[in-house]
Amino acid sequence: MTDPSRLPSDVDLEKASAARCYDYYLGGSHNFEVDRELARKVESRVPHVKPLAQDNRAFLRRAVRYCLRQGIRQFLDIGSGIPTVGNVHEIAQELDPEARVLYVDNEPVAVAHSRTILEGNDRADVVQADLAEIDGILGSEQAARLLDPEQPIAVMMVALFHFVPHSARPAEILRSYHEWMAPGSFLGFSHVTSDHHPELLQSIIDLYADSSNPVTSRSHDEIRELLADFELVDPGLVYVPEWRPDTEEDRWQDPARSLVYGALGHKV
Amino acid sequence: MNDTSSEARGSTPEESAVVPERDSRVAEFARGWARVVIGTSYVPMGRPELWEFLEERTERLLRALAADSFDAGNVNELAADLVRVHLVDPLALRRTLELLGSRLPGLARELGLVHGDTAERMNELLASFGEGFAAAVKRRVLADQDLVQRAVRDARDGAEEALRASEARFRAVFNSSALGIAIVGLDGLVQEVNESMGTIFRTDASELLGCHVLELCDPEYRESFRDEQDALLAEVYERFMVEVPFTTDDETLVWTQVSGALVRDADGEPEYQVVLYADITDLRLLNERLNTQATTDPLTGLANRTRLNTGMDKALAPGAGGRRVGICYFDLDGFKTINDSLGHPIGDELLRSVALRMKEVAEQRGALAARMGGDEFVLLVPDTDGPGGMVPLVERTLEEVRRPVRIGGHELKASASAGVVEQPVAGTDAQLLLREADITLYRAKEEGKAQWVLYDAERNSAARRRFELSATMPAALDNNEFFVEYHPVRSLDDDHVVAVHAEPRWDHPDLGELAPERFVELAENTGMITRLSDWLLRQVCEHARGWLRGLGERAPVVAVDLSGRYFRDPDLVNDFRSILADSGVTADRLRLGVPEDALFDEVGDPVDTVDIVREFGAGLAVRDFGSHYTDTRRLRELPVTSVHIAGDYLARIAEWPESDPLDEHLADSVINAARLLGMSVVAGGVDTRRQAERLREKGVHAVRGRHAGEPFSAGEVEQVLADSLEGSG
Repeated sequence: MTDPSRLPSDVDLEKASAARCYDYYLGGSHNFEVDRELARKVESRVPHVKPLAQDNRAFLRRAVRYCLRQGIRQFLDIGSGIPTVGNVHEIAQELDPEARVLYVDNEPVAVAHSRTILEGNDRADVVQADLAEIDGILGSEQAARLLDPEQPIAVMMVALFHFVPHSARPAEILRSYHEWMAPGSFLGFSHVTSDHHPELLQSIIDLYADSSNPVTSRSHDEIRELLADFELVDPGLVYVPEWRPDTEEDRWQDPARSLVYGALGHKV
Repeated sequence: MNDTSSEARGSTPEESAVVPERDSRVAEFARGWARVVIGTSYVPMGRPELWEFLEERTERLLRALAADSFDAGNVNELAADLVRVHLVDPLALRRTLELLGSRLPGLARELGLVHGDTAERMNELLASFGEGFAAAVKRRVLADQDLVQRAVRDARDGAEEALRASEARFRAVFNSSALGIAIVGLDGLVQEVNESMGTIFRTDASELLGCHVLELCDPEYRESFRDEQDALLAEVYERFMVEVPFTTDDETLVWTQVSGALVRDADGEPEYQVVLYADITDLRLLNERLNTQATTDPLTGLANRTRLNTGMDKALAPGAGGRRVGICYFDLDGFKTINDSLGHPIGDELLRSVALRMKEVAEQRGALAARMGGDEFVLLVPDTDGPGGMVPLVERTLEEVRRPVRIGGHELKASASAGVVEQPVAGTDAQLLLREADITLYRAKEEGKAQWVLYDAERNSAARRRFELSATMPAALDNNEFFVEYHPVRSLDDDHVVAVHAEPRWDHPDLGELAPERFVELAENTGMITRLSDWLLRQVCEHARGWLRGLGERAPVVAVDLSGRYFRDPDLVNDFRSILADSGVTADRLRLGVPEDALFDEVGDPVDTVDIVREFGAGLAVRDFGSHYTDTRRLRELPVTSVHIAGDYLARIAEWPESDPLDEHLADSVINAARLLGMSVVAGGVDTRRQAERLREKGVHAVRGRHAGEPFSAGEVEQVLADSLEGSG
């Protein structure tokens, strides 16, 4: 599944990584000066980028907890990035230590990092692969050990698909996952948009264009179309602060400033 | 990060026991605290959980404030709890310290936990809190940084390990591959090769090191190879593939399929080429053999039609300076006879010998010799310079064909006819050229065989019409397009119809009704005459039987003209016998008209058929009497009962006494000769009474032609006879 010939260029610390910038926004220390430099640039243009990132992370937590309450005990977190604060296995195994989690990322550093974190946890593991390599992911030894394709699963694709350009056929990728997921499964999904604050997102896109992770924005309709195979859990596809907030206080005055739509899809 | 949240939320049992019930003011304080720190960094818990967490911390802070002795460690620990739940930002610390400094003492007093001045204790508390927080953040950052550095290191190690594994795999492939693999520098010099390279190039692999990759290909292919290489190095292509030959020192020819790809360094700059060599020599030979089989005539080894077509396509490709092309179409004369009489093995042997000779002549002149099938051959001569240039080639070929061939005990003398076309390539095509050459050949055969004829548009088109007519004749016979017409033969003595003369006619769907002059000679040339004559005899006998049945002895004798070729055909005897048997008509009802020369063979003896016809009892009439004086006297020996004469001079004697004395003399001499032989004389083409008068005066017995009466069909014979009797009174 891994292509050894491309590894050396992947361990590239001269380019900022979206995952490590994200960690920086969350207040993590798993980042390098090159990442912080980019993150600070973004922050100067989008001052609320930290709450924005944190709210996206909070969406992941709320979605995972929702799935746990629905009885889901296995998770596939794709594009998990470097393990920063509030990882899926922490959320899930806090509630049920038997819950199983498989992380997937294509970045070798993130994978090495995750492997270190997960040492000694026999119910969570990581696979290095691209999102599109579905056969490689699901056919991996780790997947065979942790995931039961006959049982409902929660697949998390949070803040992932805006790194998938149109040319990579995102709808087909999603369809492949949908086909594989057992009935009763969930799909956690979030995606940036320029629907209401295009100037804010454009600043981010411009700055990220030089990083190893260029961004593709999509509209509400486009995202809904991507998720067409799924039924959406109430309240549907909304800005993430609006998605089942813990308290009224967690609502944003202008949720659109979060720039991120979130939804939890349900395969009936 | 493992279990940070659950660890952080933990509070010691004895502490909870001290404050069993939480005051709503504590909860209120915690909510305010949560409000100011939320958003400074991500805290992996929902807001209500954070409230609870901060309520517990508030209570511990209150106790620390109220305690008799200050426990700095406890406050350090408490601040570190915040870092553990990931409240790590300096802003969170600042806001916490502000909140505690301004509101914690007031809350403590409201709750009745402290009285009096708390300023000193608060200083201690805030300092310890700040110290604990900073220390925890520092630990955490160091741990995180260590972790991420380790992750990078691991990833790099993994990459290097993978690289090593990949390198090892490449080595294994490199060493064990049956493909030749060469690492070639951007300068084209071979830097490294595997053992298979040595095997392919029939040398020691090390000999190839340092040589230029272009040296591994024969000189005439280097340019195209270089072009491919250049395109690769200029990054026009990702990879290239060529097939090139290489001649080894011991003159062995090796064909290689070469594919190359560029390898780049980490910066994406071209670094070297990997060039793969496959030995395709055997494959190539096999292909060539298959190709040869597909384009060679198996019997003679000459080119077949396929290769001729390819050759013609090349020869007909437009070129500079108005190219010309020549085609000779050959056909062996009388090959069928050789095949029939000596057998196919001998025939095949003859074809092989002739083909070999043609090939030699052709190759000397840069022409292509091809067998079209049967005994037909074609020479294709590209880039000719006019019809004249074709003559030596054609004559030399015909000469070669005529040279005797020894096969087994036979010495065969073959000959061929040839049609020659030589034209500019513009305005023609392969099909057209071959057809014209074929028609020209047909003319050569028509004009006497063993010779060549040059294409002539006008003559060819006349020949083509004849050719087409002869080609449609067999189908026409099957379709009953032919019918028999009868011409009365009228006696000049009593004006009675004494016989009828049968004549075949062709009701051609396109050309209308055709007289025998249009097709009989044609049928003789193509051999159709046998079938046509056979049919004619059958028809006539059929009609004659009907007349005998209806008219008895009054039924007329039927005269039928037979071609010389048919008359000499050894099969005639059998055919004639079966026709008579089938119809039940006796031979004495027929009078067969044959050309004088058909009665004698080459040495002047009467042909066998004459005797047989005599045996049957049929009468013979000589058609072109007087044309061969030498043989005339011999007619006495033959069962010839009459002669037929015809010609323009017979018409002209009607103008007597103004007629030409020469015409008078000719008529007199022919008629007298016949009379001296004791044969009756029938004149054809007699249209007028005056003409008939003159012929009667000269001793002619009967006439055909308009004077004798209009032609009629078989069914009308009774009427014609009746009219004739009536007319004569």
